[in-house]
Amino acid sequence: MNDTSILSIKDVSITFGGLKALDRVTIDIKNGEVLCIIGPNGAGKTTLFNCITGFLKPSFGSIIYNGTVELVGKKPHQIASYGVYRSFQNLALFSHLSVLDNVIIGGLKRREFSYTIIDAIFKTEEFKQKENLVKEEAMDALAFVGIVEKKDINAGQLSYGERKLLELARGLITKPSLLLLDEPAAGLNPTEKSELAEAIRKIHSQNINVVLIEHDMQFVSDIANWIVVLDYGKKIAEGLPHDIKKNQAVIEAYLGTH
Amino acid sequence: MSIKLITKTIIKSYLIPVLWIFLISLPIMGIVRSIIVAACVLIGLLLFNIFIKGKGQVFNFGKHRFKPTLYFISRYAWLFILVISFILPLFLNSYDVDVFTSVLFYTMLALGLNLLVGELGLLNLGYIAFYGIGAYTYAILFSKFGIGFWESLLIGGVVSAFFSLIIAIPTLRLKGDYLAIATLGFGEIIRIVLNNWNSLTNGPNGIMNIPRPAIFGFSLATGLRFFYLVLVFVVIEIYILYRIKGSRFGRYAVAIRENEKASEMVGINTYKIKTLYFIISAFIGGVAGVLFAAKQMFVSPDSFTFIESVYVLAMVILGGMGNITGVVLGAFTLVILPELLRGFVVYRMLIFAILLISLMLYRPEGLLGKKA
Repeated sequence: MNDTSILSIKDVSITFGGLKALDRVTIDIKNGEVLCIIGPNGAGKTTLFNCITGFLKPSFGSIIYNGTVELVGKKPHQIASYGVYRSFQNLALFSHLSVLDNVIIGGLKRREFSYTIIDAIFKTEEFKQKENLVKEEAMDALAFVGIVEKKDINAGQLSYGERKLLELARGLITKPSLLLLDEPAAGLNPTEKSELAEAIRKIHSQNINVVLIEHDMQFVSDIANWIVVLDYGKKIAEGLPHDIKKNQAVIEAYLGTH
Repeated sequence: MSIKLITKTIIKSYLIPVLWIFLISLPIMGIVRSIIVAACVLIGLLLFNIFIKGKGQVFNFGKHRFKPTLYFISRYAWLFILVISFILPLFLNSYDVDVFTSVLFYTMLALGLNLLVGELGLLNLGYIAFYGIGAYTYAILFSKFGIGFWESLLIGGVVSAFFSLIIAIPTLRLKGDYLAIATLGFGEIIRIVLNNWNSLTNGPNGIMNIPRPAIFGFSLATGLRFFYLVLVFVVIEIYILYRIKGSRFGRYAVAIRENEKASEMVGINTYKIKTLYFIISAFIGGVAGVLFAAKQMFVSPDSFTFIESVYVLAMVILGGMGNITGVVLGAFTLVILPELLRGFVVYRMLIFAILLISLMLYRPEGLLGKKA
């Protein structure tokens, strides 16, 4: 571990009409951290993810990736190509394609798997070799999350928990250095939750930084080593899990002041 | 399955439709031909139920097990069709050869449009404009500058692709219905320009005396030889489209159609891929247009009306969007069917309409399309 930050979010603000969805949010995500963002509904957590990944453009502030790259104003596919992958709260899979194809599509953008359209038309060695390579790596990714035996069925036919794992596998093959997970444990049963926690820990041990949004405090304190609390678009607290549990502002935000 | 159930199924799914077809065709065609039609329908139903509906199911015949698969058919069908289409025209009269040439032209166009509508899910209602641009490129290049067919073939494709770039850059930011309207407008603009730019396109009178090509001194002027020329182009096109479909570029397109947000997230530049597809599809349309101008030896704006775009779109949808075999089948059906029905004069359009409506009712995903 070192002290450089993988993502520094500085004074990021965004308004929708008159509503301040994010108000000067500043978060520093250190390399090697599992950071968790919590907060009541409508606190701006998903909006923050959308700002980081380029789906929304903050009206103010900057997001510096890896100490050098400014992400504000970049397109989602550019940000993805820097090695930032995110999952969506309500899943974004290619549901009519097979599980394997879902993962392969994730990997095809990587330079080592890319070939030209001419290679494809003439079926050159390069084409065959790279198609095989990406397929192998896709199988590895599926094996990593443990759904390799489902590779030939359509993604839409998977159970909810398996779909979450598939989204994770598709993320892994993009070789991200920062993984943003939007409520990965929502809707999962306790067994699936512990499998997911295991998968996240394994991912983290491969030097991939993980940032997640989560509600389940048990799950959070299990895997996170730093917690940021948002409420009404403002950062109201940050700290270690056991400190956050005792924080007065956090308790008030969740339970109300009255 | 009990005997009662089997009898019921046989009556319901075979006997009734076959009898119905027989009774309907009886007054039009007489008893012998009606029996033939009914027999064809029966065989068609059997094949359909076994190979398409029953795909993957295992049938037990006493000790024997039979697992129908489309693989067997699809593997040899292409070879079979290829051989047939090379041999058959030799035995046909020149009218029929013309009909088959027009099947080939529509196949080319339908496959080109399928790249947008079928693979990417972008509705283009002005596709015929690219066909027109290609045709007029050859006509103008020849009549003004004396440039020959083979050079024009390439230039026609490139000019078409260039125009597609002009339309793609502003409109690809639009989605769904808006894109359809914009492309519809583009198609009409091109037709109106062709109709009114008298000094260049000779207006509604069109350009005449366009020559048919020759290859190494061997003239391709007869209908039959021209048929083979177009056939070669269609075969090349199908091969290239298959290769693209099986490559990462094909996968990107399907990914964008399935979920644009997710595609962006895994790093696919959706805008770039859409533009690439627009260009390839317009290039195909342009090349087909040059061939068309050479075939007709005459171009006029009347050949490139909106209804032609709709006709090509109907072929893509009928055959099954995103399925190359299906699109070829769609083009074939929509050109051949009206010709086959020509004998029934008054009933022709009626039967055609009934067939299309029943297809949309019973197989809305197209003949060979995937069930969504």
